[in-house]
Amino acid sequence: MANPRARALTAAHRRELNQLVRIAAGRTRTIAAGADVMAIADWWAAGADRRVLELVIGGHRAAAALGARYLRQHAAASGATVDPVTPRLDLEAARASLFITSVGAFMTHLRAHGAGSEYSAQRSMTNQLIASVQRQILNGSRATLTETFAAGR
Amino acid sequence: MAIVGWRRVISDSPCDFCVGLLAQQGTIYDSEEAAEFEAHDGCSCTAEPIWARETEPPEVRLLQEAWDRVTAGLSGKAAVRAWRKHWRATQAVPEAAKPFHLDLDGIEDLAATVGRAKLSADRVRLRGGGSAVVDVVNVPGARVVFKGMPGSRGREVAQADAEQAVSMMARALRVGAPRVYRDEPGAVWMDHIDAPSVDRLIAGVRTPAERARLEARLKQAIDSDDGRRLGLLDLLTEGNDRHTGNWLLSADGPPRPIDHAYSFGDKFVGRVDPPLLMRDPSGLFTTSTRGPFATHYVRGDVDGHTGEWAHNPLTRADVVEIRRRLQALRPAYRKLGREVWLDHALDVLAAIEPHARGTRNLFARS
Repeated sequence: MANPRARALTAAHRRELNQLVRIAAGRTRTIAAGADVMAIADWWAAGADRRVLELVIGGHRAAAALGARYLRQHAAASGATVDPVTPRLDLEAARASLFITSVGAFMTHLRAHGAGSEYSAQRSMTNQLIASVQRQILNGSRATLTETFAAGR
Repeated sequence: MAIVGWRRVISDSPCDFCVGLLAQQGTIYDSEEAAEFEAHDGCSCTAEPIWARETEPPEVRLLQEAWDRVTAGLSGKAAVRAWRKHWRATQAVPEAAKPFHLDLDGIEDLAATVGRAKLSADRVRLRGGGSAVVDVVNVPGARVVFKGMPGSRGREVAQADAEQAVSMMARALRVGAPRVYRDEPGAVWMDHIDAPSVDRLIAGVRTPAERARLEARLKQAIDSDDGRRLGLLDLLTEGNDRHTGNWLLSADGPPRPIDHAYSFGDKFVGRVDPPLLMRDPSGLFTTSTRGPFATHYVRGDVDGHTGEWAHNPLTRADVVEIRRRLQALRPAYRKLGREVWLDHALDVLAAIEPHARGTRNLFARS
């Protein structure tokens, strides 16, 4: 088991990540709120895709930096040393996930519930998009650790 | 010292997927698979580094046991579905019930009824005074029994533990004892069973013909497959209080056991002795020191002073299946601090195992 100091660092790191994810969720919600529900694919291609992707890239980078700092502090608290790897975000996978949870989620909901359900489709899309953004941002911290381990550093 | 792996840290209110993953794989990843962190959209699990080899903490081992128990005999999606159902039931355990229940799997409706029953004034006292307080509580569409145990110095807790422990074992053995929900140490809430006790049936007999009919009916119940399963339960739990007031018989249902507060008595647990046969005071059937149903497992002189294990109706496959079901109860018995009772039940099973001569499965799938 981690020592009390290391455990406290883990708890603090989780709080930082939660804060980061909350901010990203708020911004994603704002972007999704501007969706044109009558032409969702056009709205996405006209810039929403880029804005959400930038949010993910920035969030991933921030989470990775927090992860690296956490890893060093945790190592120090445990009498160890570590040289954290900086993980790379797979942009193609990120774009695909964001498309599936935006346009894909909207269309899936619309197909299931029919015309007139555009606004509930928008809500469903928003929730799924936020969940994807959250996962990908947190992956910045997770991958810092797993890739550092895999690299034997 | 360098990093040797990492541990999955789940959130305070984790989803069933993440807990399922943790229960299957543990929290510690220190092999080649550790390069991947499995996460779903919305997952808030994080990773914590490990700097020296270590074992899983006790709470994770408990989860792993729960996974094994809940998904026994299942695989793939069926296992995941069973786990999800279990996990949601686990999350639903009210704070006051947590000292007694790992989950509410299979008693969700009883727990919900108890929640309403506590607010109900429609309550009929069946017993009180020096013995247990037994109330039947009515709520719209349902009826439950509250049983407050008598005594002090922990006796009331032991009795409530026995009620709950027997009920759990009865469910595992598909015996129709009342299910038990508990949210305080010295009392239990149970299903109400709408059937008369056998002593009431006996008291209602007016003519020799009625007596003969009842005698045949009781014999049929005792000799039924349900009766044989109930006999095993009474043996495994040291059910020494199976008199005619403690089993119910409806017109067309199986025999239903009630009142297990005296099971797993201190003077019996740890000793595996065959029960003694005797004539029931009613004169209608043969019974034993573990009740009439246990007579399928013992032989000896009626009203004699010795008994021995007899060839019993279990098959070899039954014994294997029963052992598996009992072992699956271990986390729940441990929760009550009564693992010794479960070990005793397994000892009794081991004692009757060499005498299993059944040709048709009572417990195992045929």
